[in-house]
Amino acid sequence: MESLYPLIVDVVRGSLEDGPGIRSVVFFKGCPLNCIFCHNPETKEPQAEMAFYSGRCIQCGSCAEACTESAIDFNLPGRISREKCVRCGDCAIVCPGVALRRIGRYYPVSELKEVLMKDSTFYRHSGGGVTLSGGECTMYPHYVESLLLLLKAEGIHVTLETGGHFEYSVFKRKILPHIDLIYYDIKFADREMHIKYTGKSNRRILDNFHRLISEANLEVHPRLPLVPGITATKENFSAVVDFLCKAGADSVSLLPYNPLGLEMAASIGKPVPDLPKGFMKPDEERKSYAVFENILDKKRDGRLRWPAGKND
Amino acid sequence: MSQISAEVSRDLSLKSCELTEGVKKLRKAYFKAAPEICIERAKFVTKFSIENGLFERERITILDKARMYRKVLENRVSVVRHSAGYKYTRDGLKPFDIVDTSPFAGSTTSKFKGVPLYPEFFALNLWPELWTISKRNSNPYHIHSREVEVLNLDIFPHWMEKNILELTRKRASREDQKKIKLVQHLVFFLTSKPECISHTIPDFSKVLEFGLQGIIDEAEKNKDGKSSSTIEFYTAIQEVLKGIIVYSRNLAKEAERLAGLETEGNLKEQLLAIAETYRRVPEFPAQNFREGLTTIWICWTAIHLENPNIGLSLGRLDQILYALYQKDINNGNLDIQKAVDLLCHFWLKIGDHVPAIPEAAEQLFGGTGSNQAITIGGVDRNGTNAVNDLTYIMLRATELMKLRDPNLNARYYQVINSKDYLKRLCEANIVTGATPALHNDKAVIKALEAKNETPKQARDYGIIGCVEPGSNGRFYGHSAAILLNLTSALELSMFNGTHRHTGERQIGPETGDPSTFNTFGEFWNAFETQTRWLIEQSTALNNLFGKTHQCFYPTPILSAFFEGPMQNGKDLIEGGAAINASGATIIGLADVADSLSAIQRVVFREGADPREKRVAFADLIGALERNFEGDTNDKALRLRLSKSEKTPKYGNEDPMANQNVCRIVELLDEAFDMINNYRGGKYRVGYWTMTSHAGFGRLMGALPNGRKASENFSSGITPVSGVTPDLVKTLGSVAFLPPECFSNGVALNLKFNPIDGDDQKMLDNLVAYVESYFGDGGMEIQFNVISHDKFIEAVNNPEDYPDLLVRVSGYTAYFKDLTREMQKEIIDRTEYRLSTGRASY
Repeated sequence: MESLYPLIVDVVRGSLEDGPGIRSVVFFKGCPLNCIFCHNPETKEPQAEMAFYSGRCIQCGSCAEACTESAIDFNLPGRISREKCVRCGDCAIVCPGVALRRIGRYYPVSELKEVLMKDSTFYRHSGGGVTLSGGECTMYPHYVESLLLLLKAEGIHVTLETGGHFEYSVFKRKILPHIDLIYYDIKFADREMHIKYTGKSNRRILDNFHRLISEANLEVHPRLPLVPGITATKENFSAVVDFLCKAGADSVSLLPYNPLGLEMAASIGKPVPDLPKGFMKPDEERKSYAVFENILDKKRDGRLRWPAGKND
Repeated sequence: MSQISAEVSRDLSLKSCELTEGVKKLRKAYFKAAPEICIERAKFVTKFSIENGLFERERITILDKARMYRKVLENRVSVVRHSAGYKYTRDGLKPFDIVDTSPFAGSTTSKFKGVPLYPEFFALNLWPELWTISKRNSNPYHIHSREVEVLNLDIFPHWMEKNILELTRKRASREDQKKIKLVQHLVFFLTSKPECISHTIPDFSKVLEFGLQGIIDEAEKNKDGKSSSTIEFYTAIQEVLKGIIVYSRNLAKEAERLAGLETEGNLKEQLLAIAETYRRVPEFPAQNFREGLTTIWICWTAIHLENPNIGLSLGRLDQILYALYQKDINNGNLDIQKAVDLLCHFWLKIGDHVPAIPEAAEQLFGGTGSNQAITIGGVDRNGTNAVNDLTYIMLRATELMKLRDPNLNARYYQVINSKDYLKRLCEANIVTGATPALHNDKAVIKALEAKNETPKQARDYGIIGCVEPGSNGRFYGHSAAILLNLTSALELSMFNGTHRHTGERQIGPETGDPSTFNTFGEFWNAFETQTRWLIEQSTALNNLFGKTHQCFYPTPILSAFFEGPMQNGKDLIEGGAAINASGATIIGLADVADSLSAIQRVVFREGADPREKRVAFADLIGALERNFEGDTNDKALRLRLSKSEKTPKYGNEDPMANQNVCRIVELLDEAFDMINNYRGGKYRVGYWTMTSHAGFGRLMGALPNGRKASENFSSGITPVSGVTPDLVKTLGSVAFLPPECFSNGVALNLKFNPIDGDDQKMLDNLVAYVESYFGDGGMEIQFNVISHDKFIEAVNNPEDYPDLLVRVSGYTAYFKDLTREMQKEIIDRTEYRLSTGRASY
């Protein structure tokens, strides 16, 4: 079932890392996949969530005073008793710092557009625009379509970041005509691995990618997020490259491993997966690139470019 | 017709042009040299005043002054070549030799890097520290013990009651005495007239075209049929100009004498070339580029004989000198490398003096040079593209020399000026780390037109001192006349007209106890009343000092190089300029705006979530008085007041915060604009703070925006550090403000971390930020492009970083010269990464 009114986690402005130029990035809340290595776990659930950041708490007690459900428990390391919490956000309002935060808010489409248009001069002078990210914004085709129509009327360049798990016909009708660039994440080529680490089969993702590459009249740029020991293996690299070659992709980039999701998972009371706690060291990163490049060289069919924006 | 030659357009960066050996050596000596106090001017002026009974006069005429300056010019020592300076060593300042091969002879003082003394103004403030000044911790000056004796016995005693401050005090009524007292409390406002008379840009175009003799002839013609006082004015002009001609001829003679002694062929030739040049100019019209620079240089030294070296600026040199440059290029007498070399030497000459800063004033103005601004680029009087070869040559010279003085300012008119030009300006900032400052022509011209300047006048603006715009050679603005600490107006409104710094004494009007107020509107009214009151006090005092100037300090030299006085026979200080105004600059804008928003939100609960707790005004005051250091409640309150998620902040595109900043700048513009100055002009307002936001900050208690006592204020028009990690929001918030209210200039300081890897991407991003900020209406922007680590290294090992340039707020300074507080302020500024556009914490 599709919700007409998605929650937005955040609108990050002035980003230089989510597409060309200076961009505003909309993070939608909700994702059909459940990747254990998700670097942005607060965007997984479509519902609002409460986060607690212990490092910012000064123990003033305002939250406990304000909570009508007695869900604040100073004996809990995560502070919030998740069974009792109704996610109303009262505690976050009275928190003098920002140790508590209610994640997710509704934006009427027109209001979101207004926020995004604030930086139109920056887009124009830098060749930038708006990036829709998440979460998975394709879960909300009606909302996204309305937003896109407003943005396109202003001539704004739009990039879409997707995990690819969407219904193609709806996507093609409502979203595809209004976007300029797609960043398409492919985590595994192997179906079993995909099910193991993301909870879903990758058939739809790979099919959709195939169809986009062959049908769509825009740049579709595949990206492979590096997770040490999981996606960043020789076998997976090889399988993904095979798939990309077969699909006819002409470029690919690797996304460096991002461990920030671990802390984020803890802050929203989710189990923290057993993954490396730090960023990849430069030599580890180089090693991964080298392995990938090696595989690419062997299988090169003349089209797939490397390196194509390693840090995109 | 394009004013960019094929040769320059091949590489706008002019990377092939390098420092020549001669200027490299001089530059090295320059950075090695400590300033030396020069008593030459003070000695001559005192002697003349005694001999001619000027100390007994109730009024000194322009002719008195002119004769005095002529005497000084004719008798001052002719320095063609500097041979020695003083350098810092572990055992204090020690002499060292200098090899001087500059094509420019003459100097502002008799020293290599001199501190001229103006006993008519503030030089006496150095008196108590004369014996220790060469050993003081920050920025020591060298002085000979025999010169200390001369100052002690023969010079300073005569001026004890005859300097501008004391002369004013003597003439002041009881009410006026109170205003002087306000200045002495330090926290309200400062007026700069006791130390400075002009903060403006002279007009060099006439002397270049006609020579001094041409102006002397014009003065003679203008006398015809005029009143005796007007005739006296023109005679005074003639006197000083004849003096300058003699000074130049003396330099020529000295060069000739030195040439006679010189055995090395090359050096001999150089000296003969100087002699030839100085015999011709500035007496006669400049025939070539070098003569043009020489003309400006000699007139510049003469102007400084009269006008203290505080922010006097050179204006649009790339425009004024372009015709001579082009003529030389066309007839093959000059090439680009040679032009760069001449300008590098010229830049060094311009920086040959520093102002006399007493130790106590280091807090407010530490590390300042003379702030001699030079302006390049933009559009001409008719609105067409004015960027030419010299624009790029001056940029290259600046990049190679990395001097704090002159202070380079670049104008940019979107679309009319090319994007490549903007790119080059950004590149120079990355290379130098701090210069040039960038000015948005569209916004500045709008601001000046709002003050009734004609489009032609407004388009021809140059930058004065730090960032103040003024129509080149015709705007007599004294743009730094008043420094107003706006946080004091807030303080007075919070405490019913009293001030924590001065105790329980009633200072401002009684505007009521805010704990009895029911609405934020009432609080705003109190703030407005106190602000207006401070403006009245400061402008009245400035006018009082101005009248003292009129009685005791006519200015024949500067009047000779200005549009207006020569036409209407009236001295500049009497209002002779084509455009008259006085300028104020405001300290603490962002802190005050955020404090007002905080009061509006947490005390009066406007726009607040009903679940948030109200804070009683008395409780807020209690927390401020405890400096937020009481119990957890204080800590929680400070957190709430500091966080942009909780309390509206300027710089975060918050509508309430934006509205408050707008209201403040509109109030100040309107209130200053209502007041007439003593020359028949108005007051203009700007927002640039030099280092005074650190100095004033030290004196002030905690504020409702969460700032703790003694902490630095935010600089210029810059939002408080750390209110947002998003650079686009900061730029958007500043650009949102109305430029019409900023006729005296603004300084937006941004700090970038250059350690990003991809130079091209970094440059592209910087260009995009500037384009967008200007496109949205932003007026000025200046950068520090230096990494955090480098700053920390420079704090710990200053001797390794003698030429590390930084922007404070307005001018550039050498980092090592700044006070610890100011160094900290710069390090604490929000640092943005050019690769991500976000703050790096």
